[in-house]
Amino acid sequence: MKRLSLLGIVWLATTAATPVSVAELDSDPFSFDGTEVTIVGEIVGDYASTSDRVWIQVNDDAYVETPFGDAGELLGTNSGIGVRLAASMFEPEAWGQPGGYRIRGPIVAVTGEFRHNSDTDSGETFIEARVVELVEASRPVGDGRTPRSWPGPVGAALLILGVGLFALGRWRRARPRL
Amino acid sequence: MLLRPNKHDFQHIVHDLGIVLAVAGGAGLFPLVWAVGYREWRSAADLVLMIGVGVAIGGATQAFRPATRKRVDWSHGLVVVSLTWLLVPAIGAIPLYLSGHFAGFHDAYFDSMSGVTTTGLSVLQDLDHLPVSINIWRHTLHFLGGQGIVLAALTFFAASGALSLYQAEGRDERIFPSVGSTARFIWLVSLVYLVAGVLALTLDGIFIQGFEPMRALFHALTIFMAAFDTGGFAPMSSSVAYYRSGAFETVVAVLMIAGAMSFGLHHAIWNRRKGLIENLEIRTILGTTVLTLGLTTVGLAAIGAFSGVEALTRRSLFHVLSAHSGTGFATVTSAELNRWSGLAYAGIALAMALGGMSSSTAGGVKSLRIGLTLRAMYDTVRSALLPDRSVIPASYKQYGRQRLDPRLATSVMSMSLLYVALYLGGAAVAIAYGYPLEQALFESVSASANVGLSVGVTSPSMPGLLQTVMIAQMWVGRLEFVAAFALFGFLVSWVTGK
Repeated sequence: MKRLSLLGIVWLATTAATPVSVAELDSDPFSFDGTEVTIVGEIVGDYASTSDRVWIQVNDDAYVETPFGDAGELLGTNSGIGVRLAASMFEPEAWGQPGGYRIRGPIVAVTGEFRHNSDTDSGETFIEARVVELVEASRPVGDGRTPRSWPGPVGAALLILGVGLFALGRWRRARPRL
Repeated sequence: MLLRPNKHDFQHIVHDLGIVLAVAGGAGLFPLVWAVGYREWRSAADLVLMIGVGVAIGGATQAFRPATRKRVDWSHGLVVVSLTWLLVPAIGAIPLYLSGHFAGFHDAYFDSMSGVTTTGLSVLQDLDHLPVSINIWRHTLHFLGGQGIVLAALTFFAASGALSLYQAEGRDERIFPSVGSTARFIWLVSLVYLVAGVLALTLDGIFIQGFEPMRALFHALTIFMAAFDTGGFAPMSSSVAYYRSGAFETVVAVLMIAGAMSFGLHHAIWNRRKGLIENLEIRTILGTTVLTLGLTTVGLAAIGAFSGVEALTRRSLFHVLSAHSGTGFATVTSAELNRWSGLAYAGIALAMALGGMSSSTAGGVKSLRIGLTLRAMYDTVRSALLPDRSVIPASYKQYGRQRLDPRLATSVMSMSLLYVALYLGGAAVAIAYGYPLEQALFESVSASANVGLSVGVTSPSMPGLLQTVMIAQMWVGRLEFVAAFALFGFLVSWVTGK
C-alpha cells in the first residue's frame, strides 16, 4: 500500500498537470473543462479496444489503496471516470487484467484533457489521455470475505430435504384413500 | 375470506406461497451456472444455500397440505402476492449478503427488494469488484420480478386460483381466455426480445466497443434483463455511461420502450391489429413523452448543460425514456443529474411519476389512469357547460370502445391520489433527515414509481429508517396498493377476529 502511494506521489511530482480526484472533477466540472488534469487510479472492468482507440474506466476511490479483496473492508461506492487513449498507448501485457472479482486492476496515472459533456463526443464526460503511465501492474487478491465452510453443505442438505418433501407430498396425494 | 381468516385460508396461502418461494429459489440455478463457469466457488455455495432454503420451504408447504382444498378466491390471491413480494426479496438477499458487499442484511434486502420490484436503486459497495455470478443474480432478480414471480410459478405449476393470483400481481389483461395461454404468450414475447436484444448488444460489445466476446455477452445479458424488465441495475458502477456507443444506447432505448409496453399491446402489434393509435393509453403515453421530453430538452438547453444539438437530444431523450419507462439507467453521474435543475428536473421527475403502461413492468401512476383521469375531468367540465338535459356519452377507446362509468373514474382518481400521497410521504421522511426538498422528492418518486434514477440520497450511509421507508415505497408501488391493503386487512381481521 505504502509502495503504491509513494510511486503515485513520485509520478505526480514529475508531471506538470494538476493532480485531481474524480470527486473533484464531478463536483465542479465546469472549471476543469478543457484543462489538462492528472488522475491516479485503478483500471476496472474491460479494455474496450478497437484498432484506433481504447476506452478504459479508471476508479480512484478508496479501494485503490485498500482493495476489498485484500482487506474485506467496505469503504463506500465506486467512483471513476472514462478515459480514451490512442491504441499506441495501450500495453495490455504490461498492465495485466483490468480490476474485477479477485483482481486488483493495474494502477495508472493518466494525464490528459478533461472534457465535460463534450459536444464533439455526443455529450460524453471523459479524459482524453495524452500520457498513461503504469504505476503498478494488476495482481490477484482474495475475495474479501470471511471464510465460511457451512453455506454449501447446509444448502445441499436443505435442497435434498426440500426435494424429498415435494416427493412426500406427491406420494401422500397419490396414495389411495381408505 | 375475508371475515376472520380460518385454518383453510392459511392453508391456501401457505401452499401457494410455498410454490412461489421454491420457484424463486430455483431461479438461482441460472447464476449458479455462471459461478461454476467462472470458478466462483464461494458464490456457488451461497447460491446453493439460497436454492436450498427456497426449495425446502416450498417442499414443507407441499408435504403436509391437506388433500382437499377449498376454492381459492380473489382475496387469497392478493395476500399471497403481497407476501410473495416481501419474502422473495428475503430469500434473494441471502447470496447478496454473503458476498460481503453489503454493510448488513438490511442493505442486502434493500437491493433485493429493489431488484425484484425492478426499481434499480442500490446500496451495494464496490460493485466493480463483485463476483460475476452475484452480478448475474442481481439482474436475474429484475427478470424474475419483471416477468412476474407469480406468473413464473404459474408457468411451472397449475394453481387452483391461477386467475386471482395472476391479476393480483398487477396484470389486468388476459390476452387469451386461459391464464396458462396468456403466461405462455408473455414468455414467448420475452424470449424473442431476449434473443434479439442479447444478440444485438453482444455484437455491439464485440465489434463497436471492442470487448472480449464472453465479457460482451455478460454485459449484454445483464443490461438486457435490466432494460426489458425496466429495472435499472447495471453491472458496472457508472451504469450505461460505461458503454460509449450510440448504437448500444439505441438498442437499450428500444428494450426500455418494449418493457414499458403492456403485453396486450405486444399481442396487438404481433397480430398487426389496426387502429392502435386511437387507444386512450397509447395517446396518453405519447402525449406525456412529448411533454416531458420537451420540458427536459428546453431545461437542459436553458442551463447550458449541452450546447450541441446531438448531445442535447441524445441525453435528454435517453433519460426521459429511462424515467418514463421506469428503468432508471443513466448516462451521466448522480452529481450531474443533481445539477439538472428547473425544467429539466421537472421533466425527469414528471416522467418518473407518470410511469409506463398498465400491465407492464413499469411503475408509477400509469398512462391509462392518467388518460382516464383527464378524460373524466374533461367530461365533467363539458357537462357543466352544456344544458342540464344534455346527455354526454362517457366512453373511451382501449382495444374497442369502453364505457367510462363514474365508479371507474373515481377508482382511477383515487389510485392517482394514492401515488401522489406515496411520493409526498417518502419525501417528507427524507426532508426530516435534512435532505433538500428537490432531492427528497426526486428520490421518493424514483423509489415509489420503481424507477431507480438517483440524485445521491440512496447510498450505503443513508439513515436506516429512510432505507426502510424506501423499501416500503418500492413494495407498495410495485403492488399498486391493492394487494398491500389486502394483506393489511387480512392481518387486522386475523388479530381482531372481525
